[in-house]
Amino acid sequence: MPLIDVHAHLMLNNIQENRKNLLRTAAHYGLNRYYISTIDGNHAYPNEEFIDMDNRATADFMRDEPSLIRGYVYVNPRNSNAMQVLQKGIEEQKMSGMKLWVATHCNDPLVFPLVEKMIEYDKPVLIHTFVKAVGQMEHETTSYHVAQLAERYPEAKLIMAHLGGEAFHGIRSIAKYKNVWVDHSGTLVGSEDLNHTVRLLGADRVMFATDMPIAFASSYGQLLEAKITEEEREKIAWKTAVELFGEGL
Amino acid sequence: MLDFNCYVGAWPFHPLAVETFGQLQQLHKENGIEGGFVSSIKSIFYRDYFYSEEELHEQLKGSAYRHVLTVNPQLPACMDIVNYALENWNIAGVRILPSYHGYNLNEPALEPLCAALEKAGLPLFLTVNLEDVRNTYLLIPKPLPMEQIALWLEKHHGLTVVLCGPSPYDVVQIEESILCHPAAFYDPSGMRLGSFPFDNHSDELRTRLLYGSMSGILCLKSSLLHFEKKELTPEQTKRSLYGTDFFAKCPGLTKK
Repeated sequence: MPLIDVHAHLMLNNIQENRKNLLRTAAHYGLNRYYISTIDGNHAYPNEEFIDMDNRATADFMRDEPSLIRGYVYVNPRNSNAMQVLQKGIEEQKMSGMKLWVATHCNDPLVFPLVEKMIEYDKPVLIHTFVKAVGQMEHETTSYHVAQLAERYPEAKLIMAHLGGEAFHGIRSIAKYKNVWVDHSGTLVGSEDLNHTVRLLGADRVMFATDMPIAFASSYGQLLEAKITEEEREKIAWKTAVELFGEGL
Repeated sequence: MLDFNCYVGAWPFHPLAVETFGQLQQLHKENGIEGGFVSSIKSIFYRDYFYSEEELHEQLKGSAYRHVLTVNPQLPACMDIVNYALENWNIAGVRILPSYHGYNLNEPALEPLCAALEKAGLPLFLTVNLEDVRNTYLLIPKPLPMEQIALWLEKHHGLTVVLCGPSPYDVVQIEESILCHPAAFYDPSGMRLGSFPFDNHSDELRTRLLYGSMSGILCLKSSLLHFEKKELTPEQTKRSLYGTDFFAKCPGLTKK
């Protein structure tokens, strides 16, 4: 079964090690493609310089491993050059989508022009989404914010990451928005998470993802163990991603 | 192959894919696992867990599965139930969950339990992590500091201990205490971080690895994949999946 991971990373403080790890893991599990962004765990609100370093690291990896690596352009909507960063990432660096992390909630007005531009490009926006019993960050998006953004921009292609952080909190609230897809990355290993998600969204809106280099087997194990049909498993593993990104294997 | 850390029962906060003993057996069968050491989820949340343990005993009777009693040593009838279970249910060990039940390993009521298990030649299953703390609802566990576990291990060399659900880094952090202990083991159910979680575990440390999945709460495949993908040597895999070293340290498990 082909495998596309729609949510993986390089970490800015450990790029060479992460690159090796991603390559080794892809070979070990037979993974066909990663969609990566580069982030820096020490900077929730990265300035223009850090964002530039992040996106250059992604572009370099895409250039060096063209058959394996596709990229998201990482944007901090608070930076005054956010739109230029987005345009450079999509038009010059040939990235496949935009990544939002924890600098703003995704329904912040600062994000609106960026999403409108992504609608023009007809490319997806990957939104870090996590609800936490402990450690919720000030501007960390939850499914509530994703639902609001989806309502405002029904033409936007939004990917709610990590099943919203907790499937039984996050999935039902976005289920009615057909322009929201989800990934199950991020060390989520609940035995019923994916079954619940597919039941509410269908496999056409669910994509395999890991949050590499954070984890891999937790997500892959979830996919293999889910009580779904083989056709649904294939969709989650790769077909839904091919359809959404419009980039064949 | 055996699963040394698995559960049956409903989780109070959301559905599980595997809740009944029949479903657990089916999942194990699909993955080539022939038996396991099973605990009751109900007993985590009950003050008087006699009934839920009696229920588990009845469910497992005649099967290839062994009963791990779940207790809270702070509750007054704890040792009464433990003694009853030792005499009547042929239990295969006792599970504690200090992070859920709100005590630490200096809790005096823990000592009679440890002494009883040591005398019976049975293991203590110390639950280090269960679900991801970030995903909890209403009941937020307070994780045990690994330093405290290390100190506690040093004072309990006569007891066989299985650390359930530590992260790969947790284990490395207390490697010396695990290796100095004659019978401390750890399971891979919490090895979610990193794609090759055993890379930093020395060959000596890997002799203490005992396969446990924490199913039905967690996906079994997420931990079993590391064994299926041959990330350990065949010898390490065999010892872990069959519990060779673990059984040698638990004389009380051989009686039937």
